[in-house]
Amino acid sequence: MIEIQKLTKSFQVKNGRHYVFRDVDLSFPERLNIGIIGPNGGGKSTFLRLLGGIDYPDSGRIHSTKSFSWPLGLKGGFVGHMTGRQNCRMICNIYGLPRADIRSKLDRIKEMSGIGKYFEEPVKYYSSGMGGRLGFALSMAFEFDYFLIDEITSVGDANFKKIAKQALEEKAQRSHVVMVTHSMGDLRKFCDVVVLLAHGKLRVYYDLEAGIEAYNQAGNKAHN
Amino acid sequence: MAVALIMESVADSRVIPKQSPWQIQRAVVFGIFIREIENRFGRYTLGYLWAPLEPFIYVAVLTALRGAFYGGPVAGLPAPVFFAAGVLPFILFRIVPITSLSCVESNLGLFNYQRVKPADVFVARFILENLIILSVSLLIFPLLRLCGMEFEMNDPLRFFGVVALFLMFIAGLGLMFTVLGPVWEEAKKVMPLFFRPLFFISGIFFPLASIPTVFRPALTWNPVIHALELIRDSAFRGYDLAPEVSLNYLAATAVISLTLGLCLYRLFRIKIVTSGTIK
Repeated sequence: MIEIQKLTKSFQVKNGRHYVFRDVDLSFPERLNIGIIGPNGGGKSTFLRLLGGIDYPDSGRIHSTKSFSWPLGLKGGFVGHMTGRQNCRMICNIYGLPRADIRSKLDRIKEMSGIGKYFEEPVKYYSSGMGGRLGFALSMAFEFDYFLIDEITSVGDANFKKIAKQALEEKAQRSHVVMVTHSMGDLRKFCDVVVLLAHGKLRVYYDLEAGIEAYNQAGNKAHN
Repeated sequence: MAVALIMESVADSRVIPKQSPWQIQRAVVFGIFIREIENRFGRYTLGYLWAPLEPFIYVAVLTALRGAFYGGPVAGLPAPVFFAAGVLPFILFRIVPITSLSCVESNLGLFNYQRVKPADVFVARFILENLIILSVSLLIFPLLRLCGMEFEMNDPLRFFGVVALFLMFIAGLGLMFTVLGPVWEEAKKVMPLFFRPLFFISGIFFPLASIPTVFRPALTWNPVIHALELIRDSAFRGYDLAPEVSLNYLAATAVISLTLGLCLYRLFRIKIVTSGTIK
């Protein structure tokens, strides 16, 4: 259960204040994979960051007893001048994995990420796709109730999508995803419920196709 | 098939062990500590050798300058011992607050992980800087001893007490600067300017006892000079300690500094990592 009460979040911009959410109330039942869609700047990534507990609203609250992964995105989360292996080791340390397990775990992360010899290179030399893959493989080494995924599936190639899908299915017993995406294909593949985020409003569609339809209309409205 | 195998082994149902807040903090600080070591030294060839270099150079230059005028002991201590006992704590006093200014900014990526908070970065850096100064001290003083200088430990218990107070003072400043850094961007330019003059008035290369009594009040407002004098006095037998030096003053400033630091951090801990409020 994720419960959102009177959530307001704004950003200080050059000319005043930009509200991403204003007094949003919402709750999700358990055991659902949640897809988040909406136009750019609609607050999708901010929403994930709020869920993940790494950003804070102006007012209101998000309540859940579940555990959330860090947002798996294209940037952030890795230290540029450290190698992929060093980064992953640091995060294993931070999450308190027993030291004896870390070495073997790192080899498996390397294998799953499929970035090969780049695992031993500083992260700053990675393409954005590679960073996303590594972040995903790393997060799969842990157990969370929800994995917060910020568009990494959309940059991955077909093979990576297959691996990601399989990985998440294996974890489906315990874990679900909250996923930001612009790909309706991914949405249909991964999600059970869709949240449309646009113009400071949040709408939940339990019927995927209705959500996608609404998204397309919202997009058209924005263009006209 | 291969994919499935990899998956199974990556996710061998190893749940993150349920951890107490203390365990979490320890794990996080340890993780960042390793990263900070990498950050400070890993990038340079012979990186670890750079750590002792700065204090060594200070001590050598000050000793050479001093020797050019007068080669004898300073306030009852051999000159290099006197300088080293001032330079080492002062470097700690300068470097902790200055590096704390960037605790948040230089670790934005890490705050992606919910359990990492700015205080963890601060604690990791604080420990690291302390360890560097400690290991350099353990290098420099035996070395001076080997060079034939004579000095004896005076009062170990009091020494550790004074050092603890000084560290409290520094930690408080560090926490204040951790908060200040993201709130006031210019701090990175301005704050080092304040530390530079302190080098000249904190009694690093002169003992307070060598200053005429009338001028001493102009120096004794500065807690650092009390700390350096007390450290020398408690560490080495026969140090010529000025009567104006006060343990109580150091203790009071230490308590105030740490209290203020903790309060400010507590007040601003959310704000400094919240998007869209500052910057």
